[in-house]
Amino acid sequence: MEKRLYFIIGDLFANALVATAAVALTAWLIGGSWGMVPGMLVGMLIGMIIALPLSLALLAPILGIMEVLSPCMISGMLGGMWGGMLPLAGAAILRWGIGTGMAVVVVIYLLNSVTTGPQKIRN
Amino acid sequence: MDTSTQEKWDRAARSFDLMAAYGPEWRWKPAKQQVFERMQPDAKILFLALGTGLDIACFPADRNITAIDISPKMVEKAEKRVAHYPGTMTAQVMDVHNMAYPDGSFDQVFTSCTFCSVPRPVEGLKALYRILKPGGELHMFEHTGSRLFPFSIMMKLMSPLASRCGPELDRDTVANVKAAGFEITGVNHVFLDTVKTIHATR
Repeated sequence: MEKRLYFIIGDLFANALVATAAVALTAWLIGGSWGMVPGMLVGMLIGMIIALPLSLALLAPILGIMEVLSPCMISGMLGGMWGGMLPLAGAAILRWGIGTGMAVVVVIYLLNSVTTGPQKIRN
Repeated sequence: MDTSTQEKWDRAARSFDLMAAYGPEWRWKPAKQQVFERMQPDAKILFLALGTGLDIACFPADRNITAIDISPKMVEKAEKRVAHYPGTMTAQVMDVHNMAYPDGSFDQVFTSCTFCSVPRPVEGLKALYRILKPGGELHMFEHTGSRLFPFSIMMKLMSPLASRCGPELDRDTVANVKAAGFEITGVNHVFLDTVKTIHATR
């Protein structure tokens, strides 16, 4: 598990940023006006699409490529889903974006704690 | 020589340090150091792919290392770091598929984020098998595809796009190492199941 403060804060910031950007964009474009399922699906796609350049061009050089890309794609996807499904505006966009990004980081860190380390060898 | 791969990495050399020298290197440095600590003092060592030489900072001193990379621009950028290595180190432009070394030339081979980019990975690993002495060691620091949902799907979706300007994201490098004839002695996951170290013997 990552224990360096720079990366812990960086991961939280990166995921909160990507999720908030995804919520804001999809809330502006769709904002729950397309019905729940189409809004959710299109929102998820848009969220993943904007997560890619944000992660690769802006965040990966300062925080690491794989450690940023995978979680931020999830944050973008979930953020897009909320913005596509719900009529969000103003502070609600920030709340949903930051909350989503932080929740994703917690889940990734927990998942990482059980997946990392030596693996069984099957030759 | 695979010229399309060479041109791709020549283009990437311009911004490679900007993308990889800070965050990624700092994040991976402890795991990379654990891999490179296995470089033996008396061994003849092959390292690939050299890139701009960022990994040299993680190498132990006083080793005898031959480093190769397919990109002349990368090797050119690495020259200063190679010259400052406190040991014996040479850098050459070479394609892993067509290495000019005789069979059994090296005691140890080390790779760092290499087999996400080698176009024909099993062939490349077979070439490493050939140039290793019997009982020789292969130590790798690699990122691979994932078996965890939803990362597995996301990696597959992103891989065609990523491979246009850099690496593929969905390689099964452990399976490729086995397919090339190596015996795996250790696999250690560094981040989820996508960043890992792989240890094998010929």
